[in-house]
Amino acid sequence: MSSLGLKLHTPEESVTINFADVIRSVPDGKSANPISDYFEVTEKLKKKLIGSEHKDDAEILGLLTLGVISAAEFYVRNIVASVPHLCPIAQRHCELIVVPSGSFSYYAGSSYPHLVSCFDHESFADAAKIRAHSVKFTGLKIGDGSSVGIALEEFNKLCELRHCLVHARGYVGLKASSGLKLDSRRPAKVLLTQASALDVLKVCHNLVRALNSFLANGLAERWVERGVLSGEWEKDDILFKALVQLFWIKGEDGYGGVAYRAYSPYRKAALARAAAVLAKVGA
Amino acid sequence: MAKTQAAPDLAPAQELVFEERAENLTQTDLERLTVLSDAEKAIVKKLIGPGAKLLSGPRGSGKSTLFRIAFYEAARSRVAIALYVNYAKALAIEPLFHSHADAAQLFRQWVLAKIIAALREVADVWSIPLTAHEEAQVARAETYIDALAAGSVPSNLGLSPSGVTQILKQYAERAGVARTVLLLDDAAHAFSVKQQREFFEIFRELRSRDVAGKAAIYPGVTSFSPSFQVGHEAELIEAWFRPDQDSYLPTMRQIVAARFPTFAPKDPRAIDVLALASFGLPRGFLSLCYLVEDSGNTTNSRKAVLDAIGVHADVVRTVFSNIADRLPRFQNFIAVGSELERAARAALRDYNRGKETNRKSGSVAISEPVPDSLQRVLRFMEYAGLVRRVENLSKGVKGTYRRYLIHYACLISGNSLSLGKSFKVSDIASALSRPHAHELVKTKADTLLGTDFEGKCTLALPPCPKCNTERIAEDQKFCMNCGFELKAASVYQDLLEADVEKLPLPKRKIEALKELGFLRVKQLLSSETQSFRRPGSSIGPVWAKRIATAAEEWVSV
Repeated sequence: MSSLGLKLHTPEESVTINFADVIRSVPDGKSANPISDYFEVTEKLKKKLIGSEHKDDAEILGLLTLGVISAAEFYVRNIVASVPHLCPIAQRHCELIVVPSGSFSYYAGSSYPHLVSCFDHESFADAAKIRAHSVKFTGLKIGDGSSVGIALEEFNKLCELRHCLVHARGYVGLKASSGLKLDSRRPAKVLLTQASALDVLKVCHNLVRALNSFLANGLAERWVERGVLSGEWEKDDILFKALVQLFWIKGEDGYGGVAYRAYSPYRKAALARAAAVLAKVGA
Repeated sequence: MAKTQAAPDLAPAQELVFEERAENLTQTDLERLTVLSDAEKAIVKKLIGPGAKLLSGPRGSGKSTLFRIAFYEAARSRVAIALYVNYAKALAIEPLFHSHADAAQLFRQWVLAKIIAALREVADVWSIPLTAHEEAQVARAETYIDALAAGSVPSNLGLSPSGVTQILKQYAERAGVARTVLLLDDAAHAFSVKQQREFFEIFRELRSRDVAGKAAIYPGVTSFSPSFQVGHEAELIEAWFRPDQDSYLPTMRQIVAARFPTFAPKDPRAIDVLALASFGLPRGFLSLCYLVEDSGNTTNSRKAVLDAIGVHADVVRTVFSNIADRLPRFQNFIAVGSELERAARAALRDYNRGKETNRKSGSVAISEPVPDSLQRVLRFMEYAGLVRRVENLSKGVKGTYRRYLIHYACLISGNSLSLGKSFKVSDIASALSRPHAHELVKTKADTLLGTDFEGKCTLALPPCPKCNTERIAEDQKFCMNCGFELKAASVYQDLLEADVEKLPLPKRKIEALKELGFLRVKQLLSSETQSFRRPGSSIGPVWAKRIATAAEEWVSV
């Protein structure tokens, strides 16, 4: 060992962390569906955000905000991976996607679909990625100027914010400055106020609501167009109920919590389509 | 402007004479009923000329008439293609802002689609048919507009300001003219700031060497986009007669002679008094004449005139107080405005007491600086036509004053001219027709309203519906106490649900409507055949039309 060496500060030591103490098994499968799971989690974070304890602490508010963005990101993973489990067309669409072999057993018995394993190496804090995975796993393309497209654009700005908070202790780099469309091109820092943290929460809520509506409506319409729905409740019952249950927030829905009531316009459309097909065949 | 009644037979045109909205008149009727003053001719020239213009005036000041005349004049003189586009129903798509993240885009597409759809009328008037491509574009635009009006969300039209400009340019080339003029009526969208800003951004983007936008706006309450600078982006033109100017009474006499030739009150000066009481608004003037005629009082014309002015003053105040009904968050500002109007009238009454009739005043000068909160109040008053800002008064070292005329009907009915108990109708005309420039009440905001008025000028925001905690800010998204997600109410939905009492109509007509079972504004709007027009009730064909107009205007901006 050389006798040379600068002693400029306290030296490092041998330090390890016992991850078994840090990472625990969690009870899972409690939430009704991805959107309800998202709102359950963010409801708890919101209580911390509005508490007077941290109302002037930009750093704590920033960390709580990260939790909110993370919850939205997790919702996206969860719902995109859930669609192929529900939709026969999506299932066929993504049948060649490679899945880690341990996925089934890892998620067996949980409420999460095994396809979330496909995203283990991915970040969803990026609008382009969300768009790409939506097409890849569901076959549904998010239009640029659509309601969900706009909600996604706003969320993308949060992703820049998240990047600053996670990777640069709040400092806004040049790329983020450009992404956030700031006028200034000088170093700056993210200092959230209570009101702006709640704005972030609202943007995340908006993305989740918009994406949830987009997927639910997109699937139901596709089922009509492709003849997946027969127009007879006895035949469509299981599939249609599963759709409603994957996407609704019971209590906020417009059907008094009865999935069948949502079926009526789709029944009519499916029967009309069937009649049109029959007429064509007959002709 | 004066609308002439050339046809000797009034009977079939009686409803037309009292048609208060120019956009509802055909070309023949508009031309038959209209004569322009020199000032208005100059405005029309500017409207069909190059350059962006903003035509400002309160309701009933004749903005639509000027636009429609400019539309036909452009076609007659073949100097430029003029498209008339009416955005009065902009508020009907406001609920989208509460249910769609892309509402701003939908609104932008709607604004552009309305321009494209207006090409159909141009093709009719110019007799230059649309090409197959243009026809297809117009048909798509019409479908889009209809879909949004029905509450559904159509797929994106893909229109852009430059694309629209291109379509217009091609049509203009075929017509053999170099320019296109866009006459964008009811563009103020007075109560939706988001829509206003989007609109003026498009207005700015549409501007080119070949296309000139002209937009009708309301004074005081229009919000422009951050990049839109009035003066730089567009010239402001006033479309509101000045009742204190020499040319005013001759012009108004022309109007009544043209549009209501049978109106001949016993005292000929009554016409001047009614004109002054209308405060420069032709629609108000015709309404006053009709109220006098409708009273059937042939023996006591003084009483009929004063009664009509009293009713009209109530209507004007109702238009103002309606702002609080339509936008409850501004109710405190409106309350301060009502207080200001009362205080200004009282100050004028004191000032005018003992003055010679020809030295009476109808204007109040408030010393600068006028606090921001009071400026907001005054802007709402201007929008409703309750006050009119005129030239500032500079008193050198003593400072500058903002000068406002107070609505003459309110002054007359509130006895603010202090004419005594047994004044003649002609005294009102003498007092107001040529006001002396030096006769005015110079005052301070504090003097009129008390020192604490600024504290009253706060937004009245609804508390949290869950825990009743007051909101801190207008755009607050969650309750800061319980975290409940706060939703902004749809202005349009609230307007539809409003009581018919809120409409600026005489009490007698409101009572008649209620007796007929019309309790809500939405009932009047859904009654397309005007089933509230009943023989035997006080609602005949003329009033039925005016009621329908009032209901449409209630939800228009």
